Formats: sequence, structure tokens, C-alpha cells
Amino acid sequence: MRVLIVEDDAETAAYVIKGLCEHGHFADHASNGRDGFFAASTGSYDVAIVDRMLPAIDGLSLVRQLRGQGIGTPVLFLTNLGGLDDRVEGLNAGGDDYLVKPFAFSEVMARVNALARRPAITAAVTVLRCGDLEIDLLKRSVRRGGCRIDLQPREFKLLEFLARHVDRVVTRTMLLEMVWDFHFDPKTNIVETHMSRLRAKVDRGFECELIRTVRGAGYLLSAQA
Amino acid sequence: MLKPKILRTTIFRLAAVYVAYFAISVGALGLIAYQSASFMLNYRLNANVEKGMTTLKEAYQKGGLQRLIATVNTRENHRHGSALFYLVLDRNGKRLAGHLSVTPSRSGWSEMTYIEDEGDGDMGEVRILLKSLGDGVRVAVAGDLEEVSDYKEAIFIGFLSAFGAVVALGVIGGLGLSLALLKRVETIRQTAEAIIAGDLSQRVPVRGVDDDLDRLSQTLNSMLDRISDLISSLRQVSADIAHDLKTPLTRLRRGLEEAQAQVHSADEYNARIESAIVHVDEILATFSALLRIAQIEAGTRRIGFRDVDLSAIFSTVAHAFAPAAEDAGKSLRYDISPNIRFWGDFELLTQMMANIIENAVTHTPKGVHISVRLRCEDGAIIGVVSDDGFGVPSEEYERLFQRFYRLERSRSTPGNGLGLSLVKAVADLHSVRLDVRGANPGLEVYMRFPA
Repeated sequence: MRVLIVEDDAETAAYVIKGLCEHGHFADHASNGRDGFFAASTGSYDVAIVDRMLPAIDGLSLVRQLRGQGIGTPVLFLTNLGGLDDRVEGLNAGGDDYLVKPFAFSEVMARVNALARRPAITAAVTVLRCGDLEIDLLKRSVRRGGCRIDLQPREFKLLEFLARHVDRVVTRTMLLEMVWDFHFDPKTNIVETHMSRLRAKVDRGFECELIRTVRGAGYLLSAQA
Repeated sequence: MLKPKILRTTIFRLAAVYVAYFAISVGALGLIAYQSASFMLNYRLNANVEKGMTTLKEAYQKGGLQRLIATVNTRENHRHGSALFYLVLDRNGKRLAGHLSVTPSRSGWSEMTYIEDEGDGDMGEVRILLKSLGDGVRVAVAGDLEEVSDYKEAIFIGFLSAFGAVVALGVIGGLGLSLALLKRVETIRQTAEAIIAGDLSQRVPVRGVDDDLDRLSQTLNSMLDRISDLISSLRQVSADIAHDLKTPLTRLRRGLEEAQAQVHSADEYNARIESAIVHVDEILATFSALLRIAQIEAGTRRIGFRDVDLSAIFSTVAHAFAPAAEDAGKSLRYDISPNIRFWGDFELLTQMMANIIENAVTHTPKGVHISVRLRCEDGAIIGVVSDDGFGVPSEEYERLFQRFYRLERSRSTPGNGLGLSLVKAVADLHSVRLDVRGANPGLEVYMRFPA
């Protein structure tokens, strides 16, 4: 995967680049908005990670200009701690996701993966599969190995999100944002408790565990051993 | 130091302008008085002279030259006050009677200068009416113009001194007023200077006469009270922040120190590093919460207001926390009327509810029942989150919403004491009335959303 990182803070940039390289990806770095824009306008990147505060051209304008040129490279915004309106502004400007600094690398990686493989057209998908698990998005029903599993609406949403990112790690924060629309970090283990209930329904009595915990990172739905 | 200043005071300028106007009007009044007085005096002199002429004419007509001369003599001998001078001339211009020392050359009105006979030969001025009475007899009647000019001079001098007095008194009064006012303004200024220098306890003295300056001083003093309240709360917050961040940082440092000294295996190091990361995350979360509260309190977030489904927010949050409550041995029930809509910020309202419910879940003993309710009541939207736990002593209710405030028994549980401060900030932003009540037993957080 080719990732462009536009970030003026050398330390943050080095941290992300190192992590991406360790995961076998290619990363280019631009330290200001103008260079970032020229690099991104080639359209040769799978994901761009763009800081909001940049010299020369700020992150918002950069993404607006990219979108104006018809370049649809998924953009992950990096925003500063406590920037309350940054998320909405960033998404309005054409960003696809956002991440508040400081962040753990696993969080960046999970989000970059989610963005890079975001299917272009999602409307056609009506059934998600993972091993013997089958999720019917129209009937909103779940079956595993032919047995019907009754899920509560929120549990269904949780499983659906995992299934849409099958074989990829999703973080706790991603789940809070996407499943509950919580853009803050509750002290309570909301995700964990819901996940354990979902697991009890999906995995109990089956030999192969589909939902796995990735220590220090998040969760993973996968049929691979 | 005061003297040059006093000329630059507002009140002195006002006084100067006022005195100038007043002096001009005194001058104008003097001019008018002078003009009309001189007109009146001239008129009276002329009338007197004409009257004298008429009397002489009558005397001549009744008793001829003899009677005329007798009349003139009588009149001249009994002169008193502003008397007239007379002169009777025969056809050859010979003086027959009268003491008028000059002889007018033409008939009708004329003015002449004469030298007084008696005394030191002062110059005098007279206004003379010369008339021919027939048979070549001519009579002159003269009035003393000196009297007129004396009067005029007196009036002039009178008004001039009045003018001078007005200017002098005005300047003195203006200076006095300015001095008095400057003194009061100066005390206000000095108080302000002292406050600028850092002594916030200073207050402007109030004289207790309830005049405009007193009222201004009172307003200034209440403003200062408010400012010092704000500053002391700011100081309190800063001190709290410093203290509450110092504690976890100290813990972090101690942990790292211990790791350095005692830990030998890589696994142990990993565990220590993980725990250090947890500590740092806690500190960052505290910062983040503080910034968020500050941003909410700044009130700029209103741009994010939309028509939101409050019922959905309540159910989502209650639903999200229910399993966690259950796992902690508590029950969470909710009774939420559907489709209640409210104008507000979805994200912030969600976080407000999450914090309130989280608070109820975290700070209650095992086995409590937590209840979340939302309903419409008399046009108002009422939200209630209650539990039947230990509750909170009523004297602590107010302080629950203060930053970093934590009940004694909660000190050991995780948290930063900012959750309810954020709730308060969001409630204030949305004009939601927020009350904490005892629920007998337990605690009830009562929210009244404006309709």
C-alpha cells in the first residue's frame, strides 16, 4: 500500500512512517501543505494522512483542492487534542476519517486499512460472509452453520461493522464512533461488554472462534486460523 | 502635579466655556443697557431743554422782553441739580441775560464746548437750542452734557466691573469645581492603578451621597467584585489542574523509577511500559476533557445545533451502558418516551447523557437499580437519571459540578472528576436546568430541557 503523510511535525511523521514500513507499506512524507498537495495530486496513493495544521496550505484547503481536482484518494485527518469542531469540518471538506492526536500507531494502522479497502460501491452488498457466518443485511438476520442467531439491533450493527472489515483489525475507538456514534472516550468498558455478549451469541458452541481480541489494538473478525 | 492637570480636566473646560458664555452675555447686556441709557438720557435732556424753551417763549409772549429776562434770571438763580443754562440775545447779538458762556452761531440744535467760569476752568459740553422769538430776540437754552456722560461712564464702569467679577469668579469657581472633581476622579484612577499593579482587593471609595460619581463608583466596585470572583475561580481551577495533573505524573514517574531499579526481564519491562502508557493516556484524557469543557463553556459550539432526536440519544446511551452495568452487578432500566425532539448538539448531548449514566454506574454499590427516564411534561422535556445507592450528602450537591471535585469515597475509583463538569457545561450551553436531588435513598439527576 502507498501512503502519503502530510505532517509538519517531523517526530510524528517519522513515527507513522516507521510503523507503516514495518507493516510492509510504502510511505512518502511531505512537510508542508503545498508539497503535500503536489504529491497527492498525482493520485498515486492509496491513502493520505493529512494534518489539519500545516504550513503553506492548511490541511482543510489541501483536501478541498484535491477533491476539486477530482482526486478521491481517501484522506485520514489528524487533528489536535480537543478540537471540538475539527471532525465535522474535516469531513465536510472531503476527509474520510479523523484521528485525534496523540494516537497509538495501531489506531492509525487500523484506520488506514479501513480506508484503503473501503469498497467503492457498497450498495450492491446485501450479504456479508465470514467462514460459516452469514449476515443478511436486508433481512437483518444472522445465521451460523445454518443456525439462526438472534441479535439485538446494536449487536447486529457491531457484527456488521466487523464483517465489513473482515480480516482487518478494528479499534475500540472506531467501534465507538461507527456503532454508537460516540465521539468521546467513555471510562466504562462499553465496547468490551457488548463484544462479550456478541461473542457469546456468535461463537459459543462453535469450534472456531470468529471474533478475536487483538491485544493492545482491537478486534478482528476472521475465519482464518 | 495637579496644576497643569487641572487645566486639562473636563470640568474645567466646561467651566471655562460656561464662564466665557456668561461673560459674553454680561457684555451684551452692558452694551444694551449702555445704549438704551444713553438714548434715554439724551432724550430727557432734549425734552428738558425744549420744555425750558417753551417756558421762555410763553414768558416772552405774555410779558415781552422784560418778563423773559426776569424769568431767565429767576431760573438761573434757583438752579439746582441738573439745571439748564440760558442766554438771551438782542438783534445785535448783545447778551441781555443768562449765564451760558458760549454763544451758538446758528439756530436749532448744536453742541458746544465751554470753559466753566467758576472753579478751575474745567471744560464742559452743552447741548444748545437756539431759537428766535421775534423782533430779533434770540434765546438759547442749554443742557449740560456732562451729566449724560457721567451717567454713561457710571453704567460702563458698573458693567465692566460686573464683567470682571464674572470672569474672575467663574475662573475661581471652575478651578474649585475641577479641583474637587479631579480629586474624586484621581482617587478612582489611583484605585485602578493599584488594581493594575496587582492589588485586586482595592475598591473605589463611595461618599454615600448617591450622586452620579458615587453610582459610577458603585458600578465599578461591583464590576471589580465580579472580576475578582472570576479570577479567584480561575486561580482555583489552575491550582486544581496543576494539582490533579501532578498526582498522576508523580505516579508515572515513580512507576518508571521503580521499573528502572527493580525490573530485569523483558516481560516485566513490557508490563511496566504498558502501565506507563495507561497513566499517560489518563493524563491526556484529563487534558482533553479540560479543553473540551473550556470549548463548550466558550459557547462557540452552538453552530453545531440541529434538530435532534433526544429520545434516540437517551436510548442509545442507556442501551450502551446497560450491559456494563449488569456486569458490575447493577441493573439499568429505562423508560423513554419516543420521538421527543430538541434543538441542540447531538454529540454533546450524547456525551452529557453518557457522563451522567456513567457516573451512576461507576459510583454506586453493587445491586443498585439505575433508572433513566425521559418524558414530556406540560410542554417541557424532563430527563431523569436516578439510582438507589448511597446518594450524596446534600451539602455536596453544588460542588458535584466543580472541576476535579470527587467525593471522598470515590477517590479510589478511576476518574478525573471532570465528567459532571462537562455535563454542567453542556447543560448550560443548551439552557438545560440541571438539578441534583436526593432520591431516598440514592441520587437523582434532574434535567429540564427548555421547550
